[in-house]
Amino acid sequence: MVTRPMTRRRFLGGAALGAVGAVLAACGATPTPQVVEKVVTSVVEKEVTKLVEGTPQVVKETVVVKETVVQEVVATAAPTAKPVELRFEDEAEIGPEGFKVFTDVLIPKFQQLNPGITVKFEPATGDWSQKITAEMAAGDAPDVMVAYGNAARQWMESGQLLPLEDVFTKDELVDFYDEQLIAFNVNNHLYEIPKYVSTIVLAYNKDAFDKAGLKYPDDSWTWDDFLMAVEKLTVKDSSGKTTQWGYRVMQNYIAHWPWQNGGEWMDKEAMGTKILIDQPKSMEALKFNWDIQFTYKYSPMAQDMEQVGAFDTFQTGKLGLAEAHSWQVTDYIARNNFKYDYALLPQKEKRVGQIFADGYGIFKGTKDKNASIALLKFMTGPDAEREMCTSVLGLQPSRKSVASVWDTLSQGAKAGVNVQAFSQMAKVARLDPYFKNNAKVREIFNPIWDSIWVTGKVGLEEGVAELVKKVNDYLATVS
Amino acid sequence: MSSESLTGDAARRPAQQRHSKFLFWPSQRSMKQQEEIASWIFILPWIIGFICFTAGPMLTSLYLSLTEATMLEPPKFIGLLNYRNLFSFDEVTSLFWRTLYNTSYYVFLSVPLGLILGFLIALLLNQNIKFRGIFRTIYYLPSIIPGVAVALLWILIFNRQFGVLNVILSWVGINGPAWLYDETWAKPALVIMSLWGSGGPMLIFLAGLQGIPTELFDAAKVDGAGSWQRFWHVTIPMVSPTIFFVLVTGIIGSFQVFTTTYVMTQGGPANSTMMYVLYLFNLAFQQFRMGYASALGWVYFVIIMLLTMLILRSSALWVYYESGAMGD
Repeated sequence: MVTRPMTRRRFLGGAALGAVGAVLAACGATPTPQVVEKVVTSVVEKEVTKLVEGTPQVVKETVVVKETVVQEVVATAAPTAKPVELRFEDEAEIGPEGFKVFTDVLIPKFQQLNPGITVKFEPATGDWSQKITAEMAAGDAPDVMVAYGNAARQWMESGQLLPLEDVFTKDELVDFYDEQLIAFNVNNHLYEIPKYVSTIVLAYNKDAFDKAGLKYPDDSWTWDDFLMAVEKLTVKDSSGKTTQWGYRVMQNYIAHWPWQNGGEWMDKEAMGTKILIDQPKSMEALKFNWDIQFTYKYSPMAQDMEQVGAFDTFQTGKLGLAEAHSWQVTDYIARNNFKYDYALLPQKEKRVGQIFADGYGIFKGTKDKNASIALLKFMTGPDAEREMCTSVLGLQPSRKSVASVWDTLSQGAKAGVNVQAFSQMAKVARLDPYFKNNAKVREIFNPIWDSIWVTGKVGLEEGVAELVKKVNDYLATVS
Repeated sequence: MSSESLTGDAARRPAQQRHSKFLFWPSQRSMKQQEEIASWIFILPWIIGFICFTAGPMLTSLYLSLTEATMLEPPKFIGLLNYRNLFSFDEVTSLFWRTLYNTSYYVFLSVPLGLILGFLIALLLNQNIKFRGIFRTIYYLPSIIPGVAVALLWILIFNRQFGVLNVILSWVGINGPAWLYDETWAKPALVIMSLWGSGGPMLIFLAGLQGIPTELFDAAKVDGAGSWQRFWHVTIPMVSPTIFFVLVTGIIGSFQVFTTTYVMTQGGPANSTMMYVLYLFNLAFQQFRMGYASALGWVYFVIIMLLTMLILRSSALWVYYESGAMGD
């Protein structure tokens, strides 16, 4: 073997060749279509022959069809010459095990589809929104993040999030509930895309209903039916101590009651500038709830069950009826050791529910806009929504096209409970009310609301009158 | 004059003179300078830390207090408007007076009670009793448990139905209130809870008590002083500097009460436990009114400083120093 010495010319020539190769390789980083196997689920109505009372008959029934198809999936991000690492912050309503859906499933899938983009997951826990606000002030916030509540409004109003109206076409947005998009629209810019939808339905304890000899709630239930059941479901022992309550009034999520009664909570669908809960129809609805708690004592006061939070009361089995939010479905499955199910909310003049807006936004100072948009599109896309819906996260999809997956394949559906009630309520729900300068309005509102509902030191009429005056006086100064 | 005579003359100078000359020798001066530089280098990390993380933010917040600042948008200068709004008696505009009252209520009850309880426990554990060391440890332990854990524990203790406190009250025929859900009882509940940390003052008092020379007690005994007189005329004056220290640090610390209310009540019900610092936090991090929150912070700084100065001044009347330093 002859060894030739490395000359300067030979070295430079080799280096140049290597550099050209590297450039070509980088140019070739365009994601190639990948062939993947995918399980597609569809819900179809078909005719089948069945035995009905001993006679074979052709009946129509809805079946879930699963089929494995081969699909080409193409990376969604524009090719990037150099690798980029994105920071993604999200929370898991059900606790730490929910984070694995992001770290073990969704993020690896996104990275596989988008070579060159690495996603670093940051779990949103504790005072995460304050942390992000501070990071925004320092210009170093996560590239893509979950956003809702007062903090999200502040981020949108101060332009900390990237406007997305040019990123999503109108056709793409049609798939989302209008109410959620209204919440994310500030100063004519769309700053967030819905992550999931949270709606309210009625949860009922089947064991308690059976014991009381009551028929389960159905779609025809009115407020009168509801009140009658609540009364019969309230059980006291021989000493007069309540051992089971008919219902728990949720005074902090109560706006749909005035709506059902034809009343209003505020003067606008979003960013209210006047509170209207003192109007007769609204007051009548509030009085209906107040009577359940204070006059008839069918509902526990907060201090009667202070060892459990408002959202954990039904799981104790000591309530006949409760309002359940869709994000609680997997928690109910895990903790309810009694028979229960869901039904539509009872109606008065009309059936109205409440919808809450949780979305994803992109930090305006993101280090790579295209990559962040790709991540946001992925996380709000049908595949991710399907995963969040069917996994332990158990989130109701904000895309109407994925609603059928919630109805048939989510953990609630598999557990045999009527999760379709959530989908039905989502169609007739209105946006959770929030006012202009909502955080300041809450500062005025909450103590008086506490005095009415928590301590009971102030009567309903007196408290509402004081509250309406103070809130409207304040809103008049900022409107 | 020969050089020899000079050398000899210098050698005969007194040591003090030689020392003073020593300081002005050029080579030694540079050593002094070197030492000075070295000292600056040693304290530089602290100075940088102080400027960056204490003095800098303080000055920034002083400026922010004169602006309308949201943290995410450029601050707008508004002069003294934040301060004017802050002192408003209208609770829609400001909760300053309410939160100041709530906090003062808490401070002026919890500090003296904690001080008295800590002192009494220290007196007991200063006696020659069996297992004294174990008792001291047991009493001190609660004060080193993190605030959040303590808060969660006391939520259970204050539970209206199953809480230990109401169970004990029921033994004497008292139907205990819904402590944390009652506007009347929520603040007293926080005061009761604060006594949990009396082990801290106890330890300091114990050190103070052990520093009293036994001869003073012996002399008092010889003079015919009874145990109460020895306590009142010997023990109390001798531990008064310790009482003073515990009082000042206790007041400053209690004015900053935050964790318990943040975890246990969030300021409720109906703002009855809305303490000053919690209100400031809510303004800054929930309403993002950084300018207004900064003004609130500066007013609080002045209030605590004035109160501390008042206590410092008053100490000349009631704190006894053996060296007489305070009286000089």
